[in-house]
Amino acid sequence: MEKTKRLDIPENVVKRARLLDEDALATLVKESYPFIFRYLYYRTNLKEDAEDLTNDVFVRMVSAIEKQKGNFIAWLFRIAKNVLIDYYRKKGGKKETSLNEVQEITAAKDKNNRDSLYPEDIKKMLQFLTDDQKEVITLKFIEGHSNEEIARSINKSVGAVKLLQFRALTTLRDVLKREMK
Amino acid sequence: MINSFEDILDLCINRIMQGEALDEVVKDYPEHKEQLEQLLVIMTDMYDSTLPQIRDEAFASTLINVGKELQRQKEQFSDDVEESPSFKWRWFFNFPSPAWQRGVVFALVLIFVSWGTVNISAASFPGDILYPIKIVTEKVRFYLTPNSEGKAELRLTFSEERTQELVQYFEENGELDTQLIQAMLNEAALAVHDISKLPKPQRTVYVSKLQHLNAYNKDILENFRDKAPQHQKQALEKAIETCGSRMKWMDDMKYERVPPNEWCSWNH
Repeated sequence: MEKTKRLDIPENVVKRARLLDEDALATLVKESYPFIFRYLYYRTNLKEDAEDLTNDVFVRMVSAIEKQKGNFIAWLFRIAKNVLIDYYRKKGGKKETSLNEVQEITAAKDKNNRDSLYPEDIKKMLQFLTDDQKEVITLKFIEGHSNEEIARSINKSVGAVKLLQFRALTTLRDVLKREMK
Repeated sequence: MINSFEDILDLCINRIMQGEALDEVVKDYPEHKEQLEQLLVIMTDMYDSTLPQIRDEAFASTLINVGKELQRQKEQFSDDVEESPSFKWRWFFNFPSPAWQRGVVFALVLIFVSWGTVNISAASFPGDILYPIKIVTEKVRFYLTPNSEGKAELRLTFSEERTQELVQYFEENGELDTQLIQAMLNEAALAVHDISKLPKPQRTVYVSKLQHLNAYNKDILENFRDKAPQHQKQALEKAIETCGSRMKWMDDMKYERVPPNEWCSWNH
């Protein structure tokens, strides 16, 4: 079942990118793009918004890469998180998901006998979670990060990550139970 | 040591993500079976979900914008280092005209920058302001090309392009750009990788094409022998030698005296 390919960037590529080497930067963008896009896709309302924000992340990456220190992947996801914060600040609020929309998810899944949820379904479900819970769920189940990496990314302990993971799944279970009644 | 339900849940999640079946995992914790099952079903639904599709156009647009930002960074860097007299833009914003006129001019500049840059950059040469965009655009074309034949063709085109740039650079500066020589040789070497994946008839055609290109590159380099500055002669001879040894290799490839899966060891 091991599905999620982890983002893995060799250190020598990052080193060359810090010197503004074009090939290295193109490799970074090519390798990281799907991961950053997915992360933003699940946190925004429109696919086009996620594309624009992904673009912003990589432009910011190039403008700051010379001063980059420490773990590159964690650093890149921090940029993505900041871009997302700016997006919500400008937008002034988030779209709420109604229970009707969750009913649509389960109904469609049953009706079409689908084996897996679609990306839009996951996105709707995530709307019921807090920001930290969303962060943990997307980084772990979608991006395949370890608890330690997530803890560094959200500035919390590994224990807190486990608790957030538990609470997120419990919330989703309760939401699904409510709509099935 | 496992203390809490959160720890057990986390352990189960990690085991499932490593490939174990949900039932197997839950079996080890009979006292939590029901609760674990409910949560792990949701987790597996999310983990198994289809991933959102990436649009090629969005990816290409990002690569181009990254190229522009890279160019800006490099210009800033060279300004900092050399403190060379830069072009003064102030006149542009100070000319005495109504605001709407400035708006129109600004909009035209924006259209030029966003739409025209890629096309104009195709004719640029090393040292030109748009050259990095040309390189990034080439990479975009390469990444968006789905099959090995197309990729091999592009590699040959890029190698030829570097050769032309090399000639142009020499005419303008009276010396060789050794990075361009390296790029020219690298593109040809990378083409081998894609050619080796092609079916036999196409493979033979592309090896012939590569042979012609390699001979052409060697001719061009040999023409510089008498003109190149003394300090570059060694690098030039080395590149000519590389082309020469590749000629022999390519005969082996053409008649498949070396199996295609070993072609990539060719490089230099």
